[in-house]
Order: sequence, then structure tokens, then C-alpha cells
Amino acid sequence: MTVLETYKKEFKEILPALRGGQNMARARERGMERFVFLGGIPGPKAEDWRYSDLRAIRARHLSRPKRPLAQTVPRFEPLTRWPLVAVLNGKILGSAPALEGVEILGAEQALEKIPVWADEYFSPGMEESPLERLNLALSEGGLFINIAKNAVLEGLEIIFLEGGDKKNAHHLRNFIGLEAGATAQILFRTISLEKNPGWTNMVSNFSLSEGAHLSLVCDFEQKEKSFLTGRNFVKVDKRASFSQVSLALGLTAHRFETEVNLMGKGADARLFAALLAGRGEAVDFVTRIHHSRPQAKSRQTVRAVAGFEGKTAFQGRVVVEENAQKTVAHQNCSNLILDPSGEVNIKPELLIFADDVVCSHGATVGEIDEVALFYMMQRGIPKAEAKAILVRAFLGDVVESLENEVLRSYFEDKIEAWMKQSMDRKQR
Amino acid sequence: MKPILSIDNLKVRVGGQEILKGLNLKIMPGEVHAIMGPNGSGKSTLANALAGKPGYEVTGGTVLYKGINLLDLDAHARAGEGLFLGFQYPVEIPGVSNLNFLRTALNAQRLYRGEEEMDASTFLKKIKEKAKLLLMDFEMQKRAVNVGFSGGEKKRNEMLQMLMIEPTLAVLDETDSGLDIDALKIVAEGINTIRLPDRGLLLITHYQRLLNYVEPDFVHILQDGKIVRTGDKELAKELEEKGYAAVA
Repeated sequence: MTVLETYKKEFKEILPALRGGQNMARARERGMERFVFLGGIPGPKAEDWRYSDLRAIRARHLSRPKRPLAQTVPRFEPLTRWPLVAVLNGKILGSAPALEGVEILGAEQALEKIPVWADEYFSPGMEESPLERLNLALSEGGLFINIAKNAVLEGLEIIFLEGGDKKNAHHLRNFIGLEAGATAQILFRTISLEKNPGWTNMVSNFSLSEGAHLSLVCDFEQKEKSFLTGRNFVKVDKRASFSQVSLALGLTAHRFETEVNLMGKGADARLFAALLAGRGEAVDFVTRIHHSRPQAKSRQTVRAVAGFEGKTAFQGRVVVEENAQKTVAHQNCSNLILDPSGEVNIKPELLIFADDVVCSHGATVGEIDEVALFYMMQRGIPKAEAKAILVRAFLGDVVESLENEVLRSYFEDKIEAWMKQSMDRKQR
Repeated sequence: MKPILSIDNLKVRVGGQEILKGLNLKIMPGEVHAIMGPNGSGKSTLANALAGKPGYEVTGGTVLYKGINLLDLDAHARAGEGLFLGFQYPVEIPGVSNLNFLRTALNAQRLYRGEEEMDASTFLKKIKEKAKLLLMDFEMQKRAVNVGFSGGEKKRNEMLQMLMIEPTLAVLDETDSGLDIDALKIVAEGINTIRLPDRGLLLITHYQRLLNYVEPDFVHILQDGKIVRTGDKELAKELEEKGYAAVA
């Protein structure tokens, strides 16, 4: 039996057991149909997927967990002093914090209570993806957050805790909506609880209404031999602004897509990403920015570091539709290779159908500056430390975009620890 | 008394070519030596080889620094032992502030020597004092290392680092180039403050100008990878008047 047939068969078997009402069941069937139509989990020959090695997901036949996922509440440390929502295998742990103008529910509960948002929740985004469609078919759990008109959410930390065993695949699906004029700052973290938790596939759809502002920080953590894939799809309406800072480091197999639809005049999106991969680590960071209305702005700043046997990829697509005149879109990706065995891939794509636009893209690849390294060593700084300082400086444009000091120093510490570990691994 | 630096028959290759061809030099505590020489004679090669720059291959000879074999040490360890190189072309490091860089360097050296770290407030107080001495704007220290600095500012920044680090032996590679006459005087004053009985100084220069303000005990002429003549400060004046061809 092929993997696709297995999926179909298993899907039929488990469909009655999956939660959600009629709407959800229909959406699931549609999701599975499209997943199969698109050819299932993509292989390396699919152009958009060539840098994501998903063979293990295909070969190991990861499906819905057959035994209950870890139910004991694990230990975890919040990073910030913001209100906290912890989600264990898709379910909110305890009760969500009560915040003025902010509604936080489990996705399934929200679907029953407020069915009008189902379309947003089910949305395939701008470009259909087999992993996103599979997520729709099999999603269990996730969050629904709505921030009321003009409400201000100064900070919210959301921790997605993922347990289970290596045969698990867990599909989480979230929706976060900001009504007109709302402002929010949100930290997204994923933490895998067990050494070999299998595959987590998380889809989050965001909707920013007129004049809303969302600042999102994504921190992904993953244990060895597990897979983490996901997509953020963000709709940005008139004069609304979205910023995302993400750190992907120490991830064995990671593909993360950020899709933004600038669907209103004057909408603004800024994406910052730091990607680091060392031995046995691979990161594929994918962005798709659609300018569908005039006078919107986007800026992407990506810094990637490939250490000993590490592999990074950045695939950045900017689409400027025909009527999106006066678009300003910039994309910049700099790459640093620390060891000759490291690999970086950069694929900028600009599809511009309007004629009055300012669009730019730039990509560079380089090594550690040996002259600077010697200069630092001559001043007494040991080589490894000097290298770490240079890497940190290289990532400065991303890290310094974080206004929150706690998050900034957390990112800095994580990068430093990664550098240290990455050098130790090389020596082994 | 043990010499600070004792170089015996040093031979160095760079890019497959022999540049230093048997150089001898001894620096005793408290002494200031100047090395002068035409372009390509090996002045900078000597400085870089002493500091341990990659690509400078020592093919013969010995270098004893305070009695230890300098050539056995990594570049950062040489610095930790008190060897400072003032760069001819100070390096720009985008994204790393001067303050951060210098404090990290200072404390790395202290850690190497098993000393306690310098705390932030002592460091700030000291650097402000030294910047004032060199007539430097302290605010510049908050910017990235040498980025956007003029040639003269970079050289002064080297001196600021030197005054903070307080090396046992400072090798200054053409610190005077790119400085106007006022800046030269200020830099010379700075250099003179580290002229102490237990320290050594090696000035590498093209011109006699700097030596008017930092008076050397010895002047050496380097030609074709060897020291061909040694004298006192009068030798530098003679060179200035007659040129290398006539003197060496």
C-alpha cells in the first residue's frame, strides 16, 4: 500500500473519531481530497520543496497517534512576564488568562460557539500546500484568539508543548484575529517534551483588520530526530501592520512558511528571521508576500548561518499583483558559512505584475572575516569566542529588531549556546 | 635582568616568499626601539609574525618573550601575555560596539592571566579618562569598532585600546601614518604614558617625525629582511636627511 493509500484508509477510519461538527467534518474531507490530489507529502523533486528533506515523514508513515499523548503536565519555564497560555498537544492547560478585550478558546470549542470564523480557520492561504491541507484534514486542537476592536494586548506568551512518540504526527491549527485598531504583541513557542516526539505540523491563520498592529515573535525548539513544519498565514488589511521575528536554531528538520496577504491599501509587513543550522540540522524558511492592493509595504530581513554540516534555505517569494501600484517591497538575505561542509540555499523570487513599484532583493554569502578574527584574537579574545561574537554581530539586524529586552537577551543567549555546541560537535 | 623580547635569527615566509631572512633584536625592560626601513623591507612582517597572524610562517630562529617561547602560543595567548600590536590598518567590525569589544578583550586577557574581571563601572570610568587624554569623543565608543572612523580616528582608537590594555610590549606598526601633526602629538603623548621601566616599545615607522615626540633608545634600519644598522635617535635624523640608500 502506498503512503497515500494508507493516509486515505486511515483517514476514513479515524474521521468519525475526530472532533468538530458537520462543518469541520466537511472541511476535513476537502482537506484530505486536496492533499491526495496534490500528491501527498512532497518529495525533493517538487520545486518548492527541494530544500526540505521530508523523506523520513514519508517513509516512517507517521500518522495519528495510536495511544494517548502525554497527559502529565510537564515542567516548562515561561520566558516573559506576560500572561501565559500553555497548550499541551493542542489543548489549553488549565484555564486561559482572562484579559480585557481578548477572547482565548480552544479551537474546537470556538468552532461550536462562534461558527462564523470557520472560513478563516479553514482558509488554505494564498498558495495551496499539501502539508497545510493535511493539517486541515487531521487537525486536533489549537487555539482561537480574538482581540476586540481597539483593544491593546501588551504581551501574550503562548507555549505549544508537544509530546508523544516517534510514530506520532500531530496537526495543530490556530486562528488569531485582531479587530479594527487592535494592537497585540505575541510570543509563539514550540517545545517538544520527549526526545523523539515525531512530527508536529502547525498551521496558524491570522487576520488583521483595518489599522490593527500585530508583533509576533516565533521561537521554535525541537528535540533530536523530530520534525517541525508549519505555516503562518497572515491577512493584513488597510493600514494594518504585521511584524514577525523568528529564530530557527538547532532544528533537525524544519520547514516554516510565512504567507502574508497585504490586502488593504497602506498595509505593512516586516519579517525578520535568523536561521542557524549545524551538524544534522536543516532549516527551510519560506516566505510568500502577496501585494494585492496598492501602496502596501513589505520588508524581509533574513540572516542564515550554516555551521559544520548544517543546511539552511531561504525561499522568498514576493508577488505584486497588477493593481498593486505604488508597492514598496524589499528583501534582503545574508548568509554566513562557518565551515566548508555547511550549505546555504537562497531562492529569491519576485513576480511583479504592476508597473509603478519599488522592489529590491539582495543576497550575499560569505565566510567569517579572517582579518577581523585575527584582530579580535590579537586583543586577547580566544578564537571560538571571537567567532561567536562575529556571528552574533552578523545576526544583529534580526536580533536588534526585537524591542523587548528580555526576548532580545534570550535570543542572544540561545545563539551563543548554539555556537558553543556547534563547535563542540565539530570537534567530536 | 631578563630581556622582554629576544629575537634570534628569525626567518619568516609569507605566501611562499622569504621576507625575514635572519633578524636579531633584543628589547630590555624600559627600552623604546624604533625600526625604520624602506617599503618591502619586512617591517610589517615582523609585527605580524610576532602577533601570530595566520599566513606568516616562521621557518627558522627563535623568539623569546619574557623568557617563554612566543611562537608556541596562539594569537590570543600572546595578547594575554601582554603583547599588543597596533595595527597599520585597524579593522572594522560591523555590529560590535567599541565598548563591548574592548571590555570583552580586556576581561579575556584577565581571565587568561587568572585575574578578576574588571566590572562595568570601573571600565567605563577608565575608558572615559583615557579617551579624554587622547582628545577622543567618548560617544564614538558606543559605535561599531572602527566603522565610519576616519584614518586618524582609527589610529587614535588603537591607542585608546593600548592604554586600556596596558601591554608589557607594544608593537606599533606605522601608528603615525595618516595622522596630522596635532593628532601625532596627542598620540605620542599617549604612547609616552605607557613608557615605564618594566615595559617595552617597538615602533615601526617610515618617518622620523614620530620619533621627535617619542624618543627612542635605539633605532634600527631594516633592509631586505635583516637589521643592517643600529644606532640612537641621531640615526633617524641622518636617515631623514640622506635617505636609506646612503645610510644603510
